[in-house]
Amino acid sequence: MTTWTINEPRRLPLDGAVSRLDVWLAMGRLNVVGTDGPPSVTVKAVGSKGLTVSLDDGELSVRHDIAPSKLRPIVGWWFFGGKRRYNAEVTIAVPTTAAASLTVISGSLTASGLRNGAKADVVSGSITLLGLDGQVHATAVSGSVEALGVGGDLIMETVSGEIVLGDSSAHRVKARTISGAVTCDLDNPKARDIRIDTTSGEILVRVPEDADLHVDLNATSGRVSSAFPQIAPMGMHGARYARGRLGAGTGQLSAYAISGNVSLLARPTEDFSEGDQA
Amino acid sequence: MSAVFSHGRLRLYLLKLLGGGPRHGYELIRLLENRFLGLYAPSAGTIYPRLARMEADGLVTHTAAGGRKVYEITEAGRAELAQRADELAALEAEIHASVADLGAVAEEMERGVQGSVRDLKKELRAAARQVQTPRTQEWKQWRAEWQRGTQYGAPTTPPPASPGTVTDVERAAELLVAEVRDAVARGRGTPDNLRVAAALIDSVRDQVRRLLGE
Repeated sequence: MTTWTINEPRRLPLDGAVSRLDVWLAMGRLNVVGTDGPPSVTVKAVGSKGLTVSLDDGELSVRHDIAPSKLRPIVGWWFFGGKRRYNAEVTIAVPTTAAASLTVISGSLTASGLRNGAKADVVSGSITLLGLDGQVHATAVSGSVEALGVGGDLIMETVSGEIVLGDSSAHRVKARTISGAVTCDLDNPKARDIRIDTTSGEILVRVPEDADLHVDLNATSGRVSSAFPQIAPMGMHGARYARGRLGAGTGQLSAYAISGNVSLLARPTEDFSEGDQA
Repeated sequence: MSAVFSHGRLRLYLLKLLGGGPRHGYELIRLLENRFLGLYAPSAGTIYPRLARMEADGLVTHTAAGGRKVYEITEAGRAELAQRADELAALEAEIHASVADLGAVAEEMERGVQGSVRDLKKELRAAARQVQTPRTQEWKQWRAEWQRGTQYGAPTTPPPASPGTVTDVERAAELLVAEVRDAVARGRGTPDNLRVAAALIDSVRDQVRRLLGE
């Protein structure tokens, strides 16, 4: 096991394979990039408390060492110079196959190119995901979750913040927010299970025209609308729910909004060979 | 990021990728995306016209396999690749430099995602407005459904029964009415007989009512 203590900005090239990544930052900005190149840790800024980096049998760990007894609420950190002590800007390059577990208490987190799943937790701040695959679980308490080009099995949760998912080929999506909108653009006609929940926010979900889904849309005090004629909104006093089947109906799409509208849209199927004549 | 590919360099890079073996267009897009750590993913609308032009210039050929076109480099293409080797090396170095500073890459990535997310939200919101029922029309529907006592979206006309039977019953009833009127107008039948006939019709009406589930 090799350990480094980082007290000033520097670039740390690593030799040896990395199969797991574990990051815990109290405050700052964390970028994780999956590459085919060698692994490295680049620290652009670091607070007075420093960072500990260790590599042990393929497990790379980057953390702020704070004893649990010293953990104070975030507000306390701001009042008592948390930023001066803990603010860090870290960029980590790992192989695309590495499994990552990332935590930032206060700040932003971006992850890209990881093909073997990732767990991203942020208490206050935003999460940005690009080109991930495998089991992806992103949780924010107050902040938004934005994801593009994510495949595999995706869970996104936030309490007060927005969730946006674009160009996604994921076959399983779970998106939950208490106060915020959910926008989902799904690319995979063979998606198996899509569940979207929001308490006070709008749901916009677009699925491919040739999707095979059982659809169940519900709005308690909002309205449901659908671009598919076979899924017609119904309800006592207004369009409150819509149920129906698209294609073979092998997958399931359910969307629940308490006080917000739910809209189901159709995504035209792109045929790549059509571009040839352009 | 796409600035790296000015002045026909995308064409050169596509030749280089095809130099490694036949590929279809979608694979080429994925390879480019991987080379740029996901930062630059050209669309099909960018790649296919280039390939078509390269094919017209005789640098590549294509074969259709399973509904998709697989592109392959020709001898002329290999010759151009060899001739522009220096340019290719410079391009590779530039691409390497552009993705070497991972911090900058991550920042650009974040900006890119935020931009796409904004565009996506705008697009989907506009599409949602198209499918949502306008408020005034919705109000009219609510009023109509309240007057009818039905559900929103429920069919407004009652389900048509098979037409033949309905007309038969109606014709029989009309025939009965016509005959009774005719008999009364002609002054046929005693008051007692008329009273018996009225009771008879009443009982038939009851039976019919029960039969049709009123």
